[in-house]
Amino acid sequence: MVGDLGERVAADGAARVDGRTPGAGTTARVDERTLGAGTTVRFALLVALLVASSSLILLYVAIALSAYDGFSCNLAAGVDPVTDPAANVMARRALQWEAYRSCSERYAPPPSGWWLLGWWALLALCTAALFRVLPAWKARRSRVVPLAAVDPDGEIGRTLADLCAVAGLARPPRAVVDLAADSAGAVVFGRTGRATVCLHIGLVTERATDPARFRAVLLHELAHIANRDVTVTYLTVALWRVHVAVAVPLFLLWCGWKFRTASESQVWSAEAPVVARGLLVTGLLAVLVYLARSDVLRSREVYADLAAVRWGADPAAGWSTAPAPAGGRGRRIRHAFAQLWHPHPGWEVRRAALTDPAVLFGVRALPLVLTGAAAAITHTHIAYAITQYNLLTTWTQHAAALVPAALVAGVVGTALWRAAVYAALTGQPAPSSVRAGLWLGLGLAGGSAVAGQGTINEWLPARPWLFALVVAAAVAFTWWLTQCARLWVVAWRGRSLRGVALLNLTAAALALSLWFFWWQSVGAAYAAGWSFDVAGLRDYLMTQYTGGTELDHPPVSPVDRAYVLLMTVGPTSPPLALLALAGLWAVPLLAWLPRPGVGPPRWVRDAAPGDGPAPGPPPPRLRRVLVAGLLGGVAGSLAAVAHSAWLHGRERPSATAFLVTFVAGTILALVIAAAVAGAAARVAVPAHRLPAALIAGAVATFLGSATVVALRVLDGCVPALALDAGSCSWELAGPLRMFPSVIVPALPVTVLVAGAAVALPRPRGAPPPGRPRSMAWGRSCALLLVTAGLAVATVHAAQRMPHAGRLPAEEETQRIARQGGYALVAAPVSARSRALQAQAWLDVGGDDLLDRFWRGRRDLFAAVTTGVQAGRSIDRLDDVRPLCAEISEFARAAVRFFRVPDPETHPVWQRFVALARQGSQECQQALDADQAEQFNTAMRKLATAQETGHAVDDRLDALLRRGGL
Amino acid sequence: MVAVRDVVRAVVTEAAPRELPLVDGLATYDDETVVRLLRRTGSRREPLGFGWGEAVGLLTPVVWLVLDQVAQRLAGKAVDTTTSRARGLLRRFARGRRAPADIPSLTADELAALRAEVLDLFTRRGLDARAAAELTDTVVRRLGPPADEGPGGPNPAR
Repeated sequence: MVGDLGERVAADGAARVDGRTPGAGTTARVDERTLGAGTTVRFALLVALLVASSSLILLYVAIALSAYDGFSCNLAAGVDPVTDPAANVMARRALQWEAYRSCSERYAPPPSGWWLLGWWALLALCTAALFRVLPAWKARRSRVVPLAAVDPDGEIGRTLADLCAVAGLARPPRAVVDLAADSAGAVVFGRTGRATVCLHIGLVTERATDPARFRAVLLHELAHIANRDVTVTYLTVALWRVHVAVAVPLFLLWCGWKFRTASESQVWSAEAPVVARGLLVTGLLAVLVYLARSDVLRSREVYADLAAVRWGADPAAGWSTAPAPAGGRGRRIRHAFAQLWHPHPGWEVRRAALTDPAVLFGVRALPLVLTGAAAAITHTHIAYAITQYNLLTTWTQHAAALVPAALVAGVVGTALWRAAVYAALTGQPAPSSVRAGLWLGLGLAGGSAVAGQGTINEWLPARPWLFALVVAAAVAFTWWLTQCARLWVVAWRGRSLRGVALLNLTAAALALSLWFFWWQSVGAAYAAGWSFDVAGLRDYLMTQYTGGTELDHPPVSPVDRAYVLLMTVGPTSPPLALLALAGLWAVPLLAWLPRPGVGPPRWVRDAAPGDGPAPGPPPPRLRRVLVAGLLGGVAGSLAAVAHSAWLHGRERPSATAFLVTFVAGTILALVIAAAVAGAAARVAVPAHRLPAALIAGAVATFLGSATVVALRVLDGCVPALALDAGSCSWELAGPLRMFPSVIVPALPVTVLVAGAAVALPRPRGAPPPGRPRSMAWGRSCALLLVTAGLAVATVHAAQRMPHAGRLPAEEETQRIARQGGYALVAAPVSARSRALQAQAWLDVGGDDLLDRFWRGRRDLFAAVTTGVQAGRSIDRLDDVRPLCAEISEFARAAVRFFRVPDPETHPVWQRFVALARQGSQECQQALDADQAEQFNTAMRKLATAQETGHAVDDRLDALLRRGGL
Repeated sequence: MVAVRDVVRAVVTEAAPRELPLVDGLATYDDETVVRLLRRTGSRREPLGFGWGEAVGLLTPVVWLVLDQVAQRLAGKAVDTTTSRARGLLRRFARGRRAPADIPSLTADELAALRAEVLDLFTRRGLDARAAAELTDTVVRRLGPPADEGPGGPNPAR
């Protein structure tokens, strides 16, 4: 009677959890291994996020420990830390870019690269050490005992060995028992090659009464080893703990120091948003990492469950279920919220997944938001680092964009592809790609905003509505990926989809990198309030067409505005830009290459054994798509011809206006071609309309571009279309210049327009489905188009390559800024701020320059006085020439230096520098020509310059006094 | 004088033989470690585990902890107080070990009092009344005089 007491008590305990017996079905309809799970890339995203965040913390701390004085350079440039909006901060730096860069290099150099390398080495060492110590700590003698201690007859050990053989583990794990764990479970830790399975004592005691459960639990744990979950999981755990233990305390110290010195800081108002955002990002990071890790682990549990069942685990024995939360909606919501933080899915989810692993093929909001936020924060941190180190070449910026883009494409793309495959094989509707894009975009926009993109020294972006573009880009990304996945799923007949999925994800990553590149370099600046002078930029751009020749400066027209906007936002500067754009239509076009076959494709037979359903009707005939492209090409060509005819008959009161009209009209013709092609393609095919529209748009753009180039080549041959005064000469150089300056900037717009045309309402009645076989000429056309696209992209890459590896010349950057690239917004400046600016101006070089002139002038005058007193005439005063040359050097340095940050004092400074330059130059000329009178004049100018310099000094002193310094 | 661990083994052998592997495992530790281990019994949320929250309801920890508590009281030591825990920590720090937990031979009166105490402790540890009574009987039987004392000997179960 007493003998069953333990079982009764155990039954009571189990009953608190619930009975068991999941559903009868055991075979998954769709094999969850059909495509990669994307687990590694999800962990890689977390690692990238942690490394980027840790690096940012190090940069903050290293800067704080060094003599870094970036604020003085900003103040000297005229930035008012209190009233200047972010747009003015950007503008004031850019307008004096040479002086600002020079100041930054001297007074605000980045921490040595060794700091970062050492930091990464330290983090890597600590992570590796913790990764090795964690298993030993978990398996320490005071916590667990070897399996043999509770298994004297070796029966459990033999069972474990059998199960390892079933799981195909070449190296069986070490087995220990946790005597303090009273659940009927187990856990695996260590690393995949040397894992340890820890059996809970509750499982061991239940083995005799429930051997099926014992097998199921062990097979589940062995599945984690076989699925290679162990190393990646505990490596991420180790890195996170190292980040929390090493980097976060450092950051908190930095924050504490900043807050402590806030009252003494002259620029706290500008620093406060940075410090507060840093704290916010650190808190968010903890939530993000925890949620993302739990989410990945939940999916790994389901994979392990399915593997265990595949190896013979009894679903009726192993997967007991807890009762669903009873109560109202609020309780269910609380339960769902609590589930988000658990590393295991609910039992009802796990049980359902055994019969239908739909949960592994779903596109859920949480991972999308987390992925977007993690990618945006990572990208912002990387961009900050390369800005600090002045590594802002096109290549480095694009590389920085490729990192988050590849990770997002890997995580989100895998999920979308899996959803498309599942929908195709089960006949269920695929999850909405638009909704997925909205969630991803929400994460990207939120991450960007929290990380400080578009804010600089402000709390909030000046144009927050621009963040809607981030969401729109994310929707476009998920839409394209989903549509391509649907197309490839019905087109591909090979054994595995992994290769074509990888091709699609690569193309998506490249395209998304272009977005990240654009957002970081242009979009965020717009969001921060960047404004420019349309007329100035227009005139600058025109000089690019004319090879440097200045044209006239007519008033700004709406065409100018549209054109300048297009040219400033065009993301075509990276060498890989056209390759990224070409991938958007070339990758779906390749789906027409596989030969149609009979019966289900081979990959379907593996993915859904037994059923072998057809994933859907084959792609429509390519001819329909190409005809739509042809129509668009004809429309674009007609538009280009009409434009030429219109321009031919117009008067030309302004050369600039004519050139802008010509370029904008040419771009418009290409856009018309793409729009017509896209619109035609969407009605020509019954399905896969986005890929069809993009391909048709590309064909039309090719044809339209050929027409506009031909029109230029043949300019003069058809009198009614002639634009230049010359005769029909087949001149090629000019037309070929249209490629980089007109056609390439138009390409992003043509792709967007062709894709957007799909959203237009369609006429009623779908076109009939295509025939199930493709034609040889269609495949030839596809290959030809892809080759042509790659050739064009390669030419562009070759053209851009020499520029992409170089830092933009400081003079050129400053010239563009002054020509209209940046415009200042009126903002009041207090006397205090003016004094701070004046002080900074003096500190970072102004004082040195004044001293330098004073010393040079003094030495020169002393030398001349000595010479004259010695009775030497002008022809014997050559020894003072170096002193005059030194003053000339001073004048050149003064011109490159910051303007005096006071509108009333700066003209005095300019007069001072001009007098010094004239005096020094005339001094040298007089010495060359032995002209005593000219020499005396030069000396008088230098004396006047000295007085003017004193006036500058006096005015600056007055500013300092007025500001209380 | 009888060791707590011996009583536990005897009780578990009789009341819950399937838990003998646990007793075997615990036997590799000293009494202090066992008590520390059993006090933190529960389920943990760990990555790559099978799941959590499925306590199977083991008797061994209950029996061991109750008997240890009794042994400590009989030895004149108060347990479960902050002071004693702090002392325990200090002792561990100084590598000191407490003596093995033993229960001395008891008179019939003492055994009767002990029965009430054990029953109360089992009940307080969550066993239902019936299970607690049966388990208490088993424990008392193991602590009582040998069976050869005959029906006339002390029998606290009566």
